[in-house]
Amino acid sequence: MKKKMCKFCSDKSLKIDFKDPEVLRHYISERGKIVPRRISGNCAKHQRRLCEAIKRARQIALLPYLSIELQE
Amino acid sequence: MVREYETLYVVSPELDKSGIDNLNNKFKNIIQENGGKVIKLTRWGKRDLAYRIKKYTHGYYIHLNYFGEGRTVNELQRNLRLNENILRYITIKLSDEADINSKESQPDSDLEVKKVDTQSSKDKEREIEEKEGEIEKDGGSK
Repeated sequence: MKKKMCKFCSDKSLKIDFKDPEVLRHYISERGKIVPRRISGNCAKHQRRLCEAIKRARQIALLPYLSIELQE
Repeated sequence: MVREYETLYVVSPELDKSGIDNLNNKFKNIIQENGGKVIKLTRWGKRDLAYRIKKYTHGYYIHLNYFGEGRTVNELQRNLRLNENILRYITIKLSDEADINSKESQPDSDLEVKKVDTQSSKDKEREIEEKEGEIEKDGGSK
């Protein structure tokens, strides 16, 4: 099995910011759910910040709460 | 005590350019009249909303970076809340203590398009897709 590495630990230039939905988009599923740590391989610290950033981005409509709804 | 804050708000797509400029100037004045100092206002332009708000699918995003006190933020948020052209807003505290003179005011600007490292983002996408595939398999076996 491939070893999982935290993207934000290995790439220090990659910042977690709620204003940057392009980075956050990699960590939500097709339905708009936050990808869990066991799948994404993020460390605890970065997963916490990522989670916070995604929730902020949702508040101002940069990211969806549900993405399946729009297709229907 | 002065702190550094940022506020991002979404303006209704029905406003024209001068209407948006008026709003922006109004909010900048509110900050300045309440013991704050605007560092930078950035226009992100018209963007798709991730979900519909009041039946709109687009909105103009404006980002404000400023120094201020509690009353600055209270007054700004009160005005954002009362204005019907504001669809969404969010205020984030950037630092607990800041020197109001540590950063100079900069002119308003439009958001520069960031250079996206397409190669690495594609890799990431692929990886996440692979992982999503894994979990589907996991779910099926249970």
